[in-house]
Amino acid sequence: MLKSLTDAYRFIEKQREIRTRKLQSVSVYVCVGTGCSAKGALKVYNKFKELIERENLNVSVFKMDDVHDGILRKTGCCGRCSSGPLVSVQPYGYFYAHVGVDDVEKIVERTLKKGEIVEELLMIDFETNQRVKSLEDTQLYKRQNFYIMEDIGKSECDNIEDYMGRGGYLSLLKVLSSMKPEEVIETIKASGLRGRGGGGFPTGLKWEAARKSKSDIKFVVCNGDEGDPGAFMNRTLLERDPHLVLEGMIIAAYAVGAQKGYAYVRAEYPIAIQMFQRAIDDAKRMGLLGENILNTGFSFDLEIKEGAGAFVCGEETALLASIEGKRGMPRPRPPFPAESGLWGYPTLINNVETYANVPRIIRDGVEKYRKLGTVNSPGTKMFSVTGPVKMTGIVEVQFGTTLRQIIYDICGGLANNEKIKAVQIGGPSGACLPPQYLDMPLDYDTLRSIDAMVGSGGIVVISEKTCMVEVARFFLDFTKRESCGKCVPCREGTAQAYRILEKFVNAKANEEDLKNLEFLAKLIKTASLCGLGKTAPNPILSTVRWFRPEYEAHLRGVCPSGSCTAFKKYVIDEKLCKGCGLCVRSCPNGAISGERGKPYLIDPEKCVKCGLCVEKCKFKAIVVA
Amino acid sequence: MTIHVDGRQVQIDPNAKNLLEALKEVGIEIPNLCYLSETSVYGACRMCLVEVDGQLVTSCTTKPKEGMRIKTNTPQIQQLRKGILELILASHNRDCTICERNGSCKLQEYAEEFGIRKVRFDQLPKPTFFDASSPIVRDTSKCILCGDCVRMCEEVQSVGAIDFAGRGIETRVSPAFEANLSETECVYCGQCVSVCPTGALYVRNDLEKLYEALSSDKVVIGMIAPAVRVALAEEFGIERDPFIAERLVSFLKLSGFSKVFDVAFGADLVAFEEAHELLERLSNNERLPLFTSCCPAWVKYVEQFYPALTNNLSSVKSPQQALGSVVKKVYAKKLNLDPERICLVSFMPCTAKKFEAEREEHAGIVDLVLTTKELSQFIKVSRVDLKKLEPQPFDRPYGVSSQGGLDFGKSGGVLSSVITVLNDQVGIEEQRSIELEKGIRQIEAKTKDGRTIKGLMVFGLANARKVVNDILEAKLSVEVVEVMACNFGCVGGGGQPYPNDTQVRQSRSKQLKELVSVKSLISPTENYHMRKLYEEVHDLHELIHTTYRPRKRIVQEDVEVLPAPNGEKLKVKVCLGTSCYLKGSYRLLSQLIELAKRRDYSSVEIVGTFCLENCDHSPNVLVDDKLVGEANLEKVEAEIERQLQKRRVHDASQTNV
Repeated sequence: MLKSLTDAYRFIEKQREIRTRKLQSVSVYVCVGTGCSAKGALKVYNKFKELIERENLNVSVFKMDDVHDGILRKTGCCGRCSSGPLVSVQPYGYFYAHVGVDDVEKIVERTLKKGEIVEELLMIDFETNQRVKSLEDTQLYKRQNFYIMEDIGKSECDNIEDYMGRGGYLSLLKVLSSMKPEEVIETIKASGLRGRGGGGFPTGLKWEAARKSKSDIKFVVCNGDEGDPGAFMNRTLLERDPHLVLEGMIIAAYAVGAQKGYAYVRAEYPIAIQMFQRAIDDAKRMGLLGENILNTGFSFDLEIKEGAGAFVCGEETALLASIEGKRGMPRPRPPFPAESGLWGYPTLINNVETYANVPRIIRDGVEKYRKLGTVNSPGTKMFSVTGPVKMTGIVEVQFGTTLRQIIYDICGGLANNEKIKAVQIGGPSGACLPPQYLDMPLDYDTLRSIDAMVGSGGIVVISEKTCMVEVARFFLDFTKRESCGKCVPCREGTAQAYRILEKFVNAKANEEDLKNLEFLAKLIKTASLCGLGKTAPNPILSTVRWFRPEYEAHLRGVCPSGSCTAFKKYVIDEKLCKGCGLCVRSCPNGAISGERGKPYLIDPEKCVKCGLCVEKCKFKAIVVA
Repeated sequence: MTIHVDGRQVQIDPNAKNLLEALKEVGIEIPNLCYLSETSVYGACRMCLVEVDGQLVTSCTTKPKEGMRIKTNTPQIQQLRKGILELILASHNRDCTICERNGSCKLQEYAEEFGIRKVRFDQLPKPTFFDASSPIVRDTSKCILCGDCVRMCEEVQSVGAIDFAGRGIETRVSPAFEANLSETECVYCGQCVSVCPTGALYVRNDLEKLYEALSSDKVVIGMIAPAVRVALAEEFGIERDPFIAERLVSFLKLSGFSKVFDVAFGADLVAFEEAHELLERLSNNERLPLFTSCCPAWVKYVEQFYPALTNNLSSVKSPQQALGSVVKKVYAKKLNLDPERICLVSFMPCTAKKFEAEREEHAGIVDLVLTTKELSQFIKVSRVDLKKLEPQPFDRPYGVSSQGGLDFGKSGGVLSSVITVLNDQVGIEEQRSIELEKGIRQIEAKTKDGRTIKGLMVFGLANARKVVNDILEAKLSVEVVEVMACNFGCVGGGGQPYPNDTQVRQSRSKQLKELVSVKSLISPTENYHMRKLYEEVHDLHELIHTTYRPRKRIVQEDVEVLPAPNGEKLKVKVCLGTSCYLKGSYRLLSQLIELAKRRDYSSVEIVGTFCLENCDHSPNVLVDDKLVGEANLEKVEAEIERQLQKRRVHDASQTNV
């Protein structure tokens, strides 16, 4: 338990020393983020544990005072989730990908004992197609601007001492020892930091409003209810560096004058919750959280509230209602939470990534911070990239980076050399942008100028094989189900819009439907109560705007990408058909008939377009028109 | 405050709650489907969109500001509103012609105004729930999810029997666990019905039963509550008709009623009796403050939420049940008529009265309760022009009433009448009344013998909860509390015709006041026929008093855990609700099973139950009828032994006999 600021400074100094020396000795870091865990990282970790104990390897390791001993450590998400489970070995910097339980013995024998590289486990650089020794050697690493994500593959996610050894909590100490709350707010304002949750609202202004609200009781809330399909930046952050977020929250509490905080984290993020809870417990144990922190007179306590499993709870007023134990439904603003939030008290609510920026800004100062990013959108942004790209996972780039750089230079472009048809950015409420915007520098304002948004930072790459109408239908299916059901435009409108889109993909739409769809999209956007509704039609509006010919083609009975089943026609090529009858037996609906030895025929009325016959036919006689 | 509306410059009240109300004052009624001035702002229907300084906002959530430039009638706004209406209609059960609210539906009215002749969108299939288990019928196929009922129930009535469930298009208003209303804490005040803009909530229509009675050989006797007359007058465009009640008597007589009595007579009886009850409690200093018991919704509310205070309720029956008892027990005898042959029909402004008449302890008294709405339908369908009917007095002896009795129809009426009687009994020197806040009025009466009697007149159950809590926390000290569940009292009952809003209720109160003021008898004490009843009937006290019991809010079946094999069973109920569960009731349950097996209890039956409404003292176990709070094995075992011993003694004495 640290008793004073001096105590804390001294302790951190010592941890830095320990960490430097730790990294100089042989140690294994197993990524235990959700991506790697899902691929068996914990089994790998346990295997390492077993072998290291068996071989008595811990003995050779550096030990000092009561420091975390052993050579096996858990690290948080490294961003390359598609290559997991990932294992890095220090001090060599070797970075092994797709590590299976059976590979562990090799690593122990060759790398841990002898310092050799296990060549076949190294990651392949997609550009050179060569195996690379460490992550730092890859282009995908070099082209990113790791700022929030530091010390990839060599930081511990469950160890407060390790965080402090990286200089963690120095920003908090700086704030507590030498800055007035107003100065902190001024710094954040000057940094130009904007909300990372989607809105891009200037964070400093939010803090100022919360500071100025007069009340004895105030709250600080962290929004970790990341609900967008394909978005996992917040999860990554909470899993890999929970103290960074925690430190940001404590600084925020000091700045606005709050005594109590809540971290609202999706219940579907068990590892993030576990890591963050551990961080809270450790910080309390250290005396960095709780009553009279470091004897400065400042008190702040924090607890996790697990999400209620609804997308709409990411909307701040719904989130606050959910913390209060009510049904998560948005309410009209104003009043804004900064004036009247939790139980009517002023409440500061920011996204996980926003808080993570705070300690960095305090540490580096405004000038250095603003060197990253663009004038109006300083700093970096984490994006989660999914879709048919070679490398999916988390990237961190500065604002102003283009989509092309992210997709091609960092994620290796599309697999199978497919072409990009569109990029969906900003989650289910984001827009689908056509390729002409690949070279537009990404920031809050440029995206807004084309009716798109950064959102929380999900990027879904869509290839030419995908039908854009189907994309819109997919996202509307999500938003219509996640609508809280409060306001009419969102509740009824999304359901109706979904219905129309369903008609499109089922080849049942007409001109009138397209007109109604456009009307609905505009109605939902203008008249809905909260952000969910206001942005829900974006997938429709953007696809109708940029890919209108695809909609029109569906009206004429054609799906240009050929992916909508309803438009497919299965025909048997008479010349190729040998009349073997295999297809007849494979057809689940009795749609194929004919005489043995003669060409068979498919009844289009009966055909359910399942494609089973195509697979069965040995002569490739069944074609899809 | 000056604002610009559609190119006009207008002055508005700077204290207006929002633009919607401010604009109404200057003659622009912005359409809306979810705004209720009595509750918090919900902002969900989005019909009230207006343009403020170039931006679309909902007028219900916007505070007026000096110099605002507002457009309320642009093509864009009208298109949006129409679109919203079509969206609602597309998932609405549109069988308007056979709907309870045909002609009084707000959605129908707007659909007509906006000239919607075609809905552009497909009819959306929605899961629907229909619940006719209680006097309040729910039909979710008509629900537009405006949430008015939810906010009314929670904020104004502090009951919270219904809330939203489900998401997106599957959202619905429902009691917890999709239960029927009859199995919930609903007190049947019907205030949800009075604010429902469509036919999603309505009062169960029992008119068929009246026709049945009228076509049988039964003697049909009617009685009319005070608040019915003023609301009925609205329905027939004869507000302020001083003879409305008497015309109604004529009509009922024409329709086959043998006798028509005035519930105000029953009210005189109740006020007289209650005043004596109060004096008695004051002199014994027990069961204070006295709670009035005329309002059945309030009675159920106390039984559920304040089970420990049921003794504070006046044991006097409500005017409906008191008069009903007199008719069935005294009047029938007088006419030498088997009470079974009488069908007693009461006309009430109230939905909870239907429930009251159905309470076990009131069986066989009032046979049929019809609301003002049903009565109005009964008259309308006859095509008789009510205002052309000759007035006819109520039948003697229960047709005479005082000002006090008639005053029962509005908030404050019961307590005022009780004080009038007190004045006759002990003399009141001075009387003062102040409104503490909206819905809570304090009254102080100094008696000649120097005592001060403090009372409260409360309407709205949320107000009642506040008052009761303050009394429990000793922040308030009063001797008597009158509660009427509905805002402004019975004139605003859930069975009253539409509209039933604040404005209408105030006007009804005023009209009732006028009717009261022309009555020649002032105090119930002056009611000759009532006095005579006291002289003639010796067991009158027994006849017009009743009992109450604590009630569980959620009715749920017990879970059989360890059935007893034979004979007289001793039921041991272990609460497995959340609070008890968290405090170890599950462990206690297994211990009890062990115990029962060890001790070989053949007559002890162990069941699991849900919520004994004593969460402050979890875990709770009910041994027969004895509640064991903060239970542990020793305590429960002791209680079981005690009960078994009692039974053994009882059995022994039985054998001896």
